[in-house]
Amino acid sequence: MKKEGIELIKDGKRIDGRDFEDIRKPFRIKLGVLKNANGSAYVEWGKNKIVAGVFGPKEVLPRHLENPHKAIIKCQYSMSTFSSLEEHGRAGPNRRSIELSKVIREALENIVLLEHYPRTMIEVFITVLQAEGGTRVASFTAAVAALIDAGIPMRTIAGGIAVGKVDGQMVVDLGKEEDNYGEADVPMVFTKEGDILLLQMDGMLTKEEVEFALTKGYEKVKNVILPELRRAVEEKYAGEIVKKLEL
Amino acid sequence: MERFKLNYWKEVYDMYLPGDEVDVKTVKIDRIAVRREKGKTYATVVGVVENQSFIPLEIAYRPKVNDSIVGFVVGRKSVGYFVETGTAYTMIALARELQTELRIGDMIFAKIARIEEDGTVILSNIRKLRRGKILEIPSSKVPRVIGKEASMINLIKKKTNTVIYVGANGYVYIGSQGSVSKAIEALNMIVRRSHLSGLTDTITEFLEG
Repeated sequence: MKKEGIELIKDGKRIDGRDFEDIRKPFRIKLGVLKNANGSAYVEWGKNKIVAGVFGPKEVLPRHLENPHKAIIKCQYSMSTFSSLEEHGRAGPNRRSIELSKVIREALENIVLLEHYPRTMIEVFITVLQAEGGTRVASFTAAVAALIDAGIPMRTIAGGIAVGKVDGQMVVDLGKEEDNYGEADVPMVFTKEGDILLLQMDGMLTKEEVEFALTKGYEKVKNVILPELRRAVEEKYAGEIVKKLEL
Repeated sequence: MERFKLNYWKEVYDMYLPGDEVDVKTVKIDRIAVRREKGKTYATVVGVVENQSFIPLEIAYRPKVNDSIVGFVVGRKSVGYFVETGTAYTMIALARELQTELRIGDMIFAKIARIEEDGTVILSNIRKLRRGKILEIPSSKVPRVIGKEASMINLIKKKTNTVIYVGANGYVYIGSQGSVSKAIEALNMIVRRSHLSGLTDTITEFLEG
């Protein structure tokens, strides 16, 4: 993977000028961006721009997928054709987006209280408008925000982050170059309580490095990602009025 | 943890997200808005707490027995009529419960009599609605649209001279008589401002102005 001539770490700083444990800026979430969806969210994370929409609970189609005991989740992650500088080929699902749809769906199934809506389907559509690495964790965060907006009961809230290794140094929240030319990339999703919902690894890490990645990942999810999610929800309901009253 | 304050109804309340521990005895709208685990209660949707009662600000609708429903007929079988209500479940208005025949496209107001094991919802007390239109609002806002002892909906009906039926599923029927557009605007206003204080005053002012 290593590409000659690219220096990912220079004078103790990363290629985009961040420290090793900094998260890309801006990082913000906005709820209720789509009018026709039951719930929606927009996530801007560095140069990532992602929209998620939730529809349902609705009638299951095709019918044979119906589960009499609980709802099913249908998740579709897709990257728009103009989302990055590289060639993405034709629009629509490809090998990568099918994998991502699957891992995001399986992570969501663990926090959504599906048993309350038997014989129904909850659809989650995620579109990456602009990509800069780490889209699966950003997409997951957007999906959780959209589910909150739709009023789908959930066990808890969750957020994702990627931790990896670049030029022999462990770094948090990998950007595009670090993702493509770094040594390892570990995307992970944690609930508020610290349960792991998603954990993947690309590259090689020692046992200690994996432990470090998990500790740092949870710390960042707890201290940066989830507070922003909370702020976004509060912004939607409280909005300007509360700010004016300075409550 | 420091919480953002929410100016809900007339007082200021804390806001809870899914997974936050809440200290409540009752739950408004739907009991699945909280879950209990090991003697503790946790919110499952966004909501506020008032008088030890959890009020969800947003929750996906689930049919419950005795709910009032507004819908329109989309098909018929020998047993009855299929009613579209904007929910995931098939609702059936039994033919033997009806005095008159219904046609496809007819709007009805009914009560949920029972929910079958396969999820089919059986309606009773069916009332055919005359010409009008159906407005869709989030089902979690329905209690606010109706108001305490139907005060809000009666206010709108009286001031705009319209016929309005509100279904728990989030469909609102508005008859073609009276100032329909003003009633729709008032309803949309309630939906937008439902969690803010001084709602009744704002609506009264709007309807009189």
